[in-house]
Amino acid sequence: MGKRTFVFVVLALLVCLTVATSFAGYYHYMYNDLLKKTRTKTIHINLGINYGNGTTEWFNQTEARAGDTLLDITMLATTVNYTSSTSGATLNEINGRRNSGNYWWYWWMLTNWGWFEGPVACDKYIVGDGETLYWYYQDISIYPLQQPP
Amino acid sequence: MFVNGFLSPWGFAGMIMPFQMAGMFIVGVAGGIYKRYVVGEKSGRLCLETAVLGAFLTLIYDIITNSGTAILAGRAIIFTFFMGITMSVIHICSNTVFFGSAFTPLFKTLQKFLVR
Repeated sequence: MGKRTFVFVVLALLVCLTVATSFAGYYHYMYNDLLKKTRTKTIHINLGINYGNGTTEWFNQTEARAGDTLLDITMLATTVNYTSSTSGATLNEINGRRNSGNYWWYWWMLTNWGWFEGPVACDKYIVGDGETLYWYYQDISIYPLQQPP
Repeated sequence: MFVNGFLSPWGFAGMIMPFQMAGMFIVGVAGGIYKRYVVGEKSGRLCLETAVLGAFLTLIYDIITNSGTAILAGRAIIFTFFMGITMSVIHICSNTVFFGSAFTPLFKTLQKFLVR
């Protein structure tokens, strides 16, 4: 094998290795996360709803079933209108506050590293016991998005 | 970078732009270096090499921009990279195809213009 071919083979292997390691890390995290979340029958979560007009409602210690999604829990606590698609549900309205222009309902999760943007659609996210989740009616054209106060 | 940073339908790139520019800088430098080794090579080989280069440079670009996102948002870099791996794979695969398939015809066309 020539030196040139060797260099490109190494580059290709490096890409494959990095991607495979990242997928392994991702699935390791997701597996442990799901395992932790489905250990008990019932869960209690803190759900915040920020209407973007200075009003924030908190539903602390809301009881739900293990395996419930954020959408399930939001529907337990509020009146919701949403649209389903193959990539997941999009919330159109919470308690009469409807998406308009650049202002949309966007969800956040409180992690050890602070507020983190919801990584998946709300109907794809399985909620764990003791989690703090937050619906924020905010301008989504700003990057990075404004974190919950 | 101008189109991507200011005219994107997703809005103004904002604070992430310096990281995107750093990523693009590396792509530009790599292209400048690779140019020296292109002349006289078979197009099949060039397709494969540019496909691999496209994948590698996209990975580097994603690592830089994901790190930028993590730093700006105050998150752990490795966690941010793991959570964005699906998008990174789509980015890498599409760029592998684009680089591999577009390089040879573009190179030949540009050579014709340069000869004129």
